Order: sequence, then structure tokens, then C-alpha cells
Amino acid sequence: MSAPFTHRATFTAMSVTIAITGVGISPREHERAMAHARVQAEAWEERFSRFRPQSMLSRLNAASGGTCPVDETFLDVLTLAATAVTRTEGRFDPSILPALEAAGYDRSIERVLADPHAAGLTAPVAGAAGWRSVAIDREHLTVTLPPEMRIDLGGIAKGAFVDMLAAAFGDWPGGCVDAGGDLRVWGVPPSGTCWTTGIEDPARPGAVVAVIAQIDERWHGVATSAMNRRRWRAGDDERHHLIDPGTGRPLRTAIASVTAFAPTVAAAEVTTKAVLVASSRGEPLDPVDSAWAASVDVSGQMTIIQRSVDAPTRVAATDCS
Amino acid sequence: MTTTTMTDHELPDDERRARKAARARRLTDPLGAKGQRHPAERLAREGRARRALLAGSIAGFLVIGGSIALANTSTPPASGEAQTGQVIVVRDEEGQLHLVQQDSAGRLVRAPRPHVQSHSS
Repeated sequence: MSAPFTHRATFTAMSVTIAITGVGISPREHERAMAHARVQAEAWEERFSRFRPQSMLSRLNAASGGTCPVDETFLDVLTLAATAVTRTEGRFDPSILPALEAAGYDRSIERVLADPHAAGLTAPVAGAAGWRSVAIDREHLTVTLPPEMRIDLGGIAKGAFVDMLAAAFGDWPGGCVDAGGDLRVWGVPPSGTCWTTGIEDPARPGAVVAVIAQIDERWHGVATSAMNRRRWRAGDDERHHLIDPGTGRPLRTAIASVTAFAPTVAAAEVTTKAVLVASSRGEPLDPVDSAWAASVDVSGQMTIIQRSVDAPTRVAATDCS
Repeated sequence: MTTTTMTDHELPDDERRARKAARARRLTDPLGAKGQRHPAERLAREGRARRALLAGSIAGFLVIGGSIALANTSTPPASGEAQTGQVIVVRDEEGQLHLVQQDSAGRLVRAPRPHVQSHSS
């Protein structure tokens, strides 16, 4: 049997490379999909970029307790985020934005890396109490945040973007939408019988530390969080973009990266953050709404975090070699 | 002295049939017709070859099938039995890690090369 036609193209948006792979479709259909994705990416940034002063998110953060008009997509992602805060008991929390800026991530990552500096060490995080005060009005499409609360929906919004595009192209025989390593696959793979996904080695960016055959529909959303790329120096201190909502500081953990496999990329994104924060606090690791997650520690050891029938199960990589 | 050549139709029936059979044998089995091979031995030899080929095919099938079965059931996690749907990590001979899932039929499925790669951005 000959391999199905496969088309892949990329563009840059949200400070990452967006790659769209179509299997078993015509070049013309793939071109239409790329055009659609570019339009959607621009609309996404107009909603969720914290580096565009006119975006819905920037206007909401600047409202200081005022009510802001948004659209349904914004409300959908905000609702996803609010639910995830509850599901992770606050380990995932987009209200860490003031702390993220205090750590130095107050401009686009390209500018931070070119000229790193930090405004301070930490800043207050609104946390669960803040989220309980968020007013979402679906009838009038408005949101009101507490005056002291500002949010960054970057990661979960990017995940929701991938999920939205994957749903839009879901009638293809097969495909993959990949936004900077957060990806979703479906249907027929470009070769073989199932899609296979590599997990990057955090110690060697670009190299694969492990490979998984994605034979289960419950895993087709994949996201990875690590401290190996968005990190910078502030004086003698090394900072990165992963903040512990409990302390308001960049978290410290022996885990170098977490990759989660979930029904959606947004759910996988939530798991990666929650596992990293739990690890830094010495708490039990929970895959939350993901099927499972794989963590790689600073010495290169891999651990699988997943639930069995009733209880979470951990299997150490070194025990299986 | 006069030499006379008799054609087949001038011969008695038995002799004519014997000549015809000899011509046919020379065409179909020239070596045998010259007395250099016995058809019974040839048939026995060819039978042995067919039986050896069949036995080889069956043995090959069993070896390949057994290898697949072993590959699919090897490398169980030392820290506990893998359950259906559970993901485990195995390391191959070259040190490459593979994440492997046990499917509902009890087979371990692993992937040698990735189509895509997940990483932080």
C-alpha cells in the first residue's frame, strides 16, 4: 500500500512556529487550511496577547476592576482556565502575571532574552480568592476581574488554539496541528499504523529522549512545559517563566520537563504546569485531566505519572530498562 | 548390395509403438533415455526436496512468529505488572527510551521513530 499524500507547512505566530500537517488531502485543501490558520492565529493574538495593548486580554488587565467586553471565544478559554484553577487546587493559575513580570518576563520573550532584567523578586498572586470574584457575563459577553488581579492566558490559550484548528480540520483522513511543540494528532499518520510522538530531551534541545505510539484517542493532545527555553538572568539570579502561584517566584524543582497526554492540548497544558508546581512543593504528582504525563528530571531520568484504575501509579524508567 | 530403409508405417504395430515411446522419452527426459537417470530416483529426489521446502517454510514461520510474540511480551516493568492501558518505559539495546502501552490484547506497542516532537516553547 502506498503512503498517503502528506502536506506540511509552517508559519510564525504567538512567538512560536505553527506547523500544520495534512494526510490524504489535496495541496489546494492544505493551502486553504494554512490561510484559515493564519487568520485564526491573528484573531487569537488580538484576543489573548499580553504584548498587544489593544488585545482583549490587555484591556481586561488594564481595567482595574472595570467590566470589559470580550467575545465568546475569549469567554470559552477564560472558563477553561477558571475550571483548571479549581481542578488543580490552584497549582495552575493564570493570575501569576504580576509575579511573571516581576521576574522579568514583561516583554515578548525575544526582547527579554535580548535584554534581560527583572523588576523585582516577586509580586502578589490573586489566587483562588481572586478567581472566585471573577464575574463572567455570557449574556452580555463581558468579564470583570477583581481590581488587583491580572492574568496571563498564554499557555492555555495556545492549547485551545491548537484544539480549535484540529477540530476545524477534523474531517481530514489524518493530520497534526503543532504550535511550538504543543500538538494534536488525529486519524491516519503519514507512515505506519499510528502517529508517534517524540518527547524532547530537556538537556539536549532538539534531541528526543523517548518516543510514544499514540494508539489511544484519549491521548491525542500533547503539551510540554520546561525551563530550558524561556529562561534569562537577572543579575546573578537565573529566572524562568514557570511561577509557583503559592510563592509568586519562579519555581525550583528537580524536574526539568513535563509532557502530558490528554484528550485536548489545553488539558495537557494544565497538567504540565500543575505537575511542575506540585513537584516543587514536594506534593504528590497528579495527571489531573490528562491520561498520563512523563516527567524528565535534571539527571535525565524519566517517570510516568498516571492513574491506574483507582489510584495514581508511578513507574520509574530506570526500573524498566 | 542394396540397403532398404523401412518407415514406421511399414513396421509391425508393437515395434512402431516402442519406437514412438522412445522418441517421446528422448524429448521429455533425454538423460533418462540415455540410461543416465532412473525416473523413480528422480521422483523420489524431487519428493524429498518438496518435503524439505515445506518443512523449512513451517520452521521459518514458527521462528518469526515466536520472535514477534517474544518482542511483544518482553521488557515487563520491574516495579510492577503493567496493566491494560498503562504506559511503561523501556530502554532498547542502543539506550533509546521508548514509552510503551499495553493494549487490550496484552501486546506492548512501541514506536521507533517519531512523526512529531513535543517540547517547551
